[in-house]
Formats: sequence, C-alpha cells, structure tokens
Amino acid sequence: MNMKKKIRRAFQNATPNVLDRVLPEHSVEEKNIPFNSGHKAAPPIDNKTAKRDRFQEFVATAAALALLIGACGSGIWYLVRNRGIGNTGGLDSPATEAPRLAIEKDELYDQWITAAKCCVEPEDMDNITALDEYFSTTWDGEDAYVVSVTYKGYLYELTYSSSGLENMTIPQTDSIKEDEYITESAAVNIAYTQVEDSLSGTNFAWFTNGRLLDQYMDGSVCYYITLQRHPLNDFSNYEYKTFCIDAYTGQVLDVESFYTVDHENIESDVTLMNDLWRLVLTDYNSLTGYQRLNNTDTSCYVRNGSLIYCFQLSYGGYSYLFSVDATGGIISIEIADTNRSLKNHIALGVAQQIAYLSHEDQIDDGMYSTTTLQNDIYTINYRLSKTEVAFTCYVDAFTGSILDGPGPSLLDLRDIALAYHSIELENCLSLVMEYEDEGTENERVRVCAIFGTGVYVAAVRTSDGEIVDHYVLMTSEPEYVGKDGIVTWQDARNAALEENGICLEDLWGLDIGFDSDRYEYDFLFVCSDGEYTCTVDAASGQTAGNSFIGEEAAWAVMLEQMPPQVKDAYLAGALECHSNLYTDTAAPYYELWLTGEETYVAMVHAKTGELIDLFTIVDEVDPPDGKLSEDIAIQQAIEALAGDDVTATVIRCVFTEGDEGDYYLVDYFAGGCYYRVAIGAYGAGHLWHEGYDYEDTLNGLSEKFSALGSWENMALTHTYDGPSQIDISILFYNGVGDFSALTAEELAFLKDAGRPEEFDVFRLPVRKINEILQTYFGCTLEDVDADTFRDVAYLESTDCYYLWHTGAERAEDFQAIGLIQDGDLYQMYYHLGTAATYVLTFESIGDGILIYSNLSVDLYE
Amino acid sequence: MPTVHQMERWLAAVSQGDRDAMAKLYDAASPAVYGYALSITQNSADAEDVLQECFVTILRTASQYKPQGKPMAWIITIAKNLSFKAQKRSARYLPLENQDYFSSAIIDPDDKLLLQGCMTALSDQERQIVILHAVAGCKHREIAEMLNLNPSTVLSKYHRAIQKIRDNL
Repeated sequence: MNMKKKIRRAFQNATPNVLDRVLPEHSVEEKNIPFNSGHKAAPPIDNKTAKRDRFQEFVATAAALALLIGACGSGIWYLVRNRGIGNTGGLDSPATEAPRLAIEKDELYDQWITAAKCCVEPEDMDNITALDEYFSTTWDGEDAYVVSVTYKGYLYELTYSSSGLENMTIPQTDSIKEDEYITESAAVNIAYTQVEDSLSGTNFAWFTNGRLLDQYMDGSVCYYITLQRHPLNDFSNYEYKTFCIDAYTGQVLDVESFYTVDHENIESDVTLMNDLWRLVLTDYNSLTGYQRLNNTDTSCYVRNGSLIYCFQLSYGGYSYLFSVDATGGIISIEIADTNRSLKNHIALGVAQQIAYLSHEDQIDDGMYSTTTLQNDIYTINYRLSKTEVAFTCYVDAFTGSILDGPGPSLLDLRDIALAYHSIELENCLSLVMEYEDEGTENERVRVCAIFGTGVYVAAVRTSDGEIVDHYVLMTSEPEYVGKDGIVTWQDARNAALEENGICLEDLWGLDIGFDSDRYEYDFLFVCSDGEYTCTVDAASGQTAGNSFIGEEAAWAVMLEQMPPQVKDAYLAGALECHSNLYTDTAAPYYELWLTGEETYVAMVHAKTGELIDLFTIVDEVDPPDGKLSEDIAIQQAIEALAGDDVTATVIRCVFTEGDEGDYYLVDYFAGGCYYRVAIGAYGAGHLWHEGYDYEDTLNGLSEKFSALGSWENMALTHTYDGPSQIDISILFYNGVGDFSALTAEELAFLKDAGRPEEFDVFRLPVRKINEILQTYFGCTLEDVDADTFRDVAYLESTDCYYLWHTGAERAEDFQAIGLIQDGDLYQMYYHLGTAATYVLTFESIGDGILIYSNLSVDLYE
Repeated sequence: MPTVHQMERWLAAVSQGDRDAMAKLYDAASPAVYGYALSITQNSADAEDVLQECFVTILRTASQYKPQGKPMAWIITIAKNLSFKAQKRSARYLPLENQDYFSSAIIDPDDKLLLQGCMTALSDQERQIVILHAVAGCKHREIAEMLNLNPSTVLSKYHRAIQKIRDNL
C-alpha cells in the first residue's frame, strides 16, 4: 500500500462517527445539549407574571432560534402542533428539531392546501388522509369553505377563501379547548400593525420570522409572532420583535423591544456549550480533553441589544455562572456566592483560563508552564514559546479575580531594558532573556539584545524594575560602519539571504570583523543539522564565503543530469524554473524545479552539492476521482520508453491494484520491440517496465508466414483456438502437394460422389494430412472436428480424401505487428491487410513451430 | 473515493432529506473534514466539533450547493471556515504538551504512528496539503486554489511532506 493510501486509511480509522448527532431525528439528550432543558411547567391557573416570564423565555428562545437557524436559511419557521404542548413550552433542541419541524410543517401545509383545493377540485381528494365534510361560509365578508380533514389522527377544520387558507382549528383534542382561535395569519397581521413601517415595501420591511402557538396550563392560548427585518443600511444585522397575542381575542399581551445581533459572528449553541465545558474542565494537569457537565442550566436574555447566554455549570462540587455574549464570546465568569466558603477554590483550569484571558493581548502562541496554589492565590507562570518571555499572573482562588503581582512582569522588565539602551524591540536581531538568582531578593532578568553590530545587555531587578547592570558588547570596531566604501549590514544581510536562498527567519546572528585586509560581515544561519555561515565582503557587498553552495551551483549540479535539449532550453531561458532552500530537514537542500514539456525536480544538498534526488513530475490530467485516464497512462508509458515520435501499437491497458499502489499495466509494440510498462494510476508516473527487442526474430517470422502457400501461411487463413477448431477444408484447400493424375477408379468415385467436372480436384491422402497436422499443429485427423471437412469425399481404397472447388486459399498481405516471447512460446500479432488484428500462438521447436491457436484480437483503441 | 458525480448526486439527495445519501456523503467526506479540521485546530475535540458542525451545515445548506464539479472543495471550505472559528475560540486555551491528537480508539499502531507523524513532523501547510490530496482527494490545482499557492509549490510541498512522514516512521 502506498503512503497516500496509508494516510487515507489512517484518517478514515481515526475519524469519529458523529453522524448520529448530525441527522435530524437524533434526540437532543444524547448530545447533552441542554438548551432550555431546565424549564419547568407553569403552575395551574398561572398569573400574568408567570405568563410574562414564560414570554421572556420564549423571546429568548425564539431569538436564539432565529439567530442560530433562521440565519442559515430563510423560510424556516416553527409551528408546534397543538396537541400536548401544554408542558414543554418550546423546542428542546432547535438545532435538531428545526429540520424535522420544517418538514412536518411542509407536510401539514401541503395537506391543508390540498384539503382546501378539494373544495373546488374534488379529484385531489386522494391526496389527503380523509375528507369528512365541507360547507360554505364567509370569512371577513368573503365567500369561504370550511373543510374538515383527518390528518395523522387529528381532525382539522380549515377555512379557505379566495385569499387562501384563512383559519385552522383542531376541534377534537385532549388538551385544547374547542374554541376557535384567530388564524395565524390574523395574528401575524396584528403583529404587523404594531410596527410602524410594516408596509414600506422595501428591503427594510418587516417580515415574519417565527410563529408559535402555545398554551398555558390555565388554558390560555397565545400566538408568539416574531418579525424580523434588516435595519436601515445594515444588511449584516437583523432586528426582531416578538409579540405575544391572545389566540382568542387577538389582544397584544406583550411585546419585546427589538434588538440587533450580528449574524456573522454568531456561534452555534453547540460550539458555545463546548467552549464553556472545555473552559471549565480543561485542567491541564489531569485532563487532555473535556467532559460534559452533569448539571447545567441555561437561559438567554438580551442586554444592550445583544443576545446573552447565561449558563450555570456545576463542576467538582462548585457552581460557576458564565455569561456569554453570542456575538463576542465569553464576557464573564462568576462563582456563585453559595460556594464562597473556606477552601472552596475555583478549579485550577478556570484560574488558568482567567489568567490567560487577562493577558490575551500579549500572547499569540503561548505555552503553559506551571501553576501553584498558595495562600488562596493561584500563581500562574506562562512562557511564550517564540521569545521565551515569561510572565506571571495571580488569581484569587475564591473569586477568580486578577490580583496585582509583587512587581513588574517580565514583559515590563524587557521593555525597561530595551528603553535603557534606546532600542526598539522590532529592530533587534535577536533577544535573549534569562533569570538570575531566582527566588532571592536580588532576582533579576538579564536582557541581551543583539542590535546592529553590538550586543546590548541590561539586567533588571524583578522586584522593582531597577537596572542593576548594563553594558554593550561591540563585535568589532563600530566606527567603520557606514563609512564610505563600506556597505551597510542590512545590504550585506540581503546579499547573504539572496545568495543562499534563505529567509530572514533562518538568520540568527551577525558578526563583523577584520580579516586580513578587509572588513567582513559574517552571518550565521541555523538549520536543523547545524549552523552555517555566510561571509560578505564589507567593501564590495559580495559574498566572500558560504557554508552553502548557493543556488547557482545547485542549478549547475542539476543541469549536469539533464538531457542536452533541456539544458539548452534552460540556458536559453526557455524554461520556467524556481528553487527553494529547505533547512528544516535532516540535511539542508535546494529543491530546484525546471518546467518545460516535463517538470524536472532535483534536490541538491545545500552544503555538499550532492544530488540527493532527481525525478520528473507528471501533471495530473485525470478524471474527477483522481485517477489518471487510460489515455494519459498510455501516453506516459510510450513516452517513457519508446519516445514520443514513434508509432506504437497498444495491446492493452489494464488497471491493476498493487500492494505498492494502483497502477496501469500498459503493453505495446514499437519498432520491433515489446514493452510492458507500469504507470502509477494516481500520478506516480513510470513505476517499472519490461522491454524486449524482437526485431530480428520478427523479421524471420514475417518471411516465413508471408510466403503464400506455405503451411505457416495457411495456418493464418482462419481462426481457431486449439486443434479441434481447425477447419480442415480451409487448411487443406490448396491440397497437400499431391497433384498426380486421378486414376479411373478415383474419377468414377468422384463422379458418383457428385463432383462437377469443371471443378478442380485435390487429393488429400490421410497420411499426408496427419503428417502436416502433426508437424504444425501437434494433432491428427482424429483430433479435429470432422464437420469441418466440407465438399469432400473419402475413398477407402486409396485412403484419401478428395476436395473439389474452383478457387485458392491463402493469407495475403501479411504484416507482422509485434512479438511476445515467453520461453519457447510466442504470440505473434499481425494484420492481414485489414484493420483486423490477429494473434498466433505457437511454440518454437527446433527449426519448426507448433501452432496452438490463431485468434482475432481487439487492440486498445 | 467516490466520483464527483456521485457526491453531487448525494448532495442533491441530502437537500431532499435523504438520510441514506447523508450517510454516504458522511462516509466519503468525514475523514477529510476531520483531518482538515485537525490540521488547523490541532485538537481532536475541536476537530470533532467541527466535523459535527460541518455536516449539520451541509444538512442545512445542501440545497445551496451549485453543481460545478467541486463538491469536496465546497465541503472543505465549510470545514475550513468552521475550523478557523474553532481555532480562534481555542486561542484562548493553551496547547497541551505531548498531546495525544487521536483517541485511543485507534488501535492500529501503524495508523497511530502515521497520524502522529502527520501532526508533528509537518508544518501546518504541509499537513493541510497532504490531507487535502491524500484524504480528500483534491487535485493539486484545486489545493493551490484553496490555499492560494502556486500549483508547483503544492506539488513540492506534498512530496516533501510525504518524505517527512516516511522519515518519521
């Protein structure tokens, strides 16, 4: 199995199966996403306050639904079927319920429409579950029909006017009164009347975003209608208004002020929850992942126009209250008052996260170091992985608040040191910071900044930021820098980078010195296998010495291996070329690309100049599944061996699955040679081949088989797969060479046998037939099919067959194509003057041949 | 690997609520989504979240896919966006040292070694290229478009990455 397949298989095995969590029917409990799961049933005979609370819950839920799902696809809305809604008050899992409800809504709606159509188109009655009755009525002064239909066991009464569906009631339910509600569309219209510009007809008009019919335990039923629109000049945001409308009276009971949420930054409930869980539970000392919480409670509300999720999480016996801005991530973490007892510390992981969040602006690639708990304070030390700069954060173990440390942070100390030398951080070539006398009152940080031609050192006391030591090391006489005739170190650096093809990140050090009679810049760059230098003449700006051979030398190494025409094309500038220097490998090397008709890639050791690898890359011209087409494979196979200017006859191209990768096996003839070439099916190019030159053998065979009248030639006159299929009449059509005059007995016999006198007669002695069959086919007359002896008569006294006809048989225009040899066994491919191709299989025995079959064959087209 | 035509047919069926098609699409694309997410997030929990979110998104938006011969690129684009969001969120969390990128469910030690090699020996970009080509089946040219690279750079990096993985084994 090749590496590509191994990688694919490994990732297939490693991929967790979350399909069950994706498909809509999956229940929310299995995902442990407790969205609104903590809601309790309203008490019986609820009061207005309770209803108001319920309304706020709905508003938050509806808003969340609108944000989380509605934003992803317009037109999804929710209509909970009336039956059984008294206790739940909402959707348990919007993410998984929405698609199901949308489908259900469509089904219901289709049924309603169908039912309504039945009033005027009775032929559609078959489309509904049952149609009980219908009668005429009026609706808002218009003629209308009321249709009663049974759907999924529920009886619906639908009122349909020329304007469409006007009303729907469910007269037979267990929990809902049989009173008629106002229609949903009426409720929507009532909601529209509450907004000032509902009929503006522009893009900024309100439109219905959600509809929900809900019932309380006291029996009251309300519509919750959510309207949505873009605010003026802001298409990325939406405004929402949700109205609570009494389903019996149409009275607007409550309305939530509209708010704006930036959809672009909305995070899904799933990721938010996972975020929070991970936040709480990522204890770097003990956990490598995160776990679900046992107890959670979730609520949503709107604050300052933003949607806020509020989570109370329990972990390790402690409760944490998280407030999360849906547009901006975590905004606060509180620890419940009830937990503020002695030693009820916040979790280690929480403290670390609080510390991290407090320094987030300073850290882009941080690496956690240590955390200690002492005197109810977490001391958290972080160290930055790139600069090795560390900082310390103190977190109150009870409240989670950030405490001031005993002194300036390490970053502050660094800045103090640089400021002392008037050096900007971004101008430093390198910066090293080290603690000294750690843990003592004299603890200090020694900051060593390489800047220009000097090393600027300052030791800063950690307790108060006092400079306690400082000096500058100049690596050479500084006075010559910038003198006339001396290039600047920046120019020298650029020359070194360009010469070696290295990038700035690889450059670690600079030294400048006086060597013999000239100043030189020495640049140090570091690769995985060691350090290398480049010396630049400070006077000329030219490189004076390199650890690496340089790109030009690498190209020369590559070109030595190139075909002359490629080399010429390169020198003529006719080829596209580029190079990379890789220094992060076991040995640094130049990778050189040369692209013309083919792409050559060479890897040249950057230090020794050794040619590590040289290969060609075949561009993929392949069908969508990533596999090369057969045509491309054949083209590659021919070009790989025979060249691109020969006429080749392709015998076959077979896709083969191999242990080392799939490949095409291409067999073809070209110039008297037979080639078998394996071409990687997925762009691996020419894998292996076999090639045989049969030109001489083929010439000899051609002479023999093209001799008209020879038995070899006669063997080509018809097709057969083994002796039993040899057609004797054709094979011996021209006789066996016995042309002596017929005797009187033979003439009399033939006359009796019905031979027309004008026909020629060929005498075929059985002995001679068997002799020929034995010689060329390894069989006798007993082995062949007697039915193939047509227009022939046998005379026992002479033991001869007599064949009569007026023509001749022979294989004309023989043209050999190619030969495949397997020991003494040969397969000769040939034409007979037509497009048809045949293959003769025979064995070489001494000077003769033993023929096994002669078959037509379809070549690859 | 399924053909482009197959995947587009499945996407069309998914938009009609076909669960079987969703399962087939998941089988075909989930390793690539997970691998790609892992290459960006460097965290198996985040990658699993991205995997789930990605297919929820596909489920909701399959009807928006316009057949143009690049279904995997479309899916990977979704995965990429979700992965970067996850990465941004996870930037608040510090990377773990010596972390185990894959669950213990991977019992084949060869697989584990190979995957660890992918995660540790390769640069982020090399890893993405390997996953996009070897796992997602994307062409080098497609990868070049996705990552805004020169196609020959993609080829080069892919070959280098494979060599690094071999060296790491």
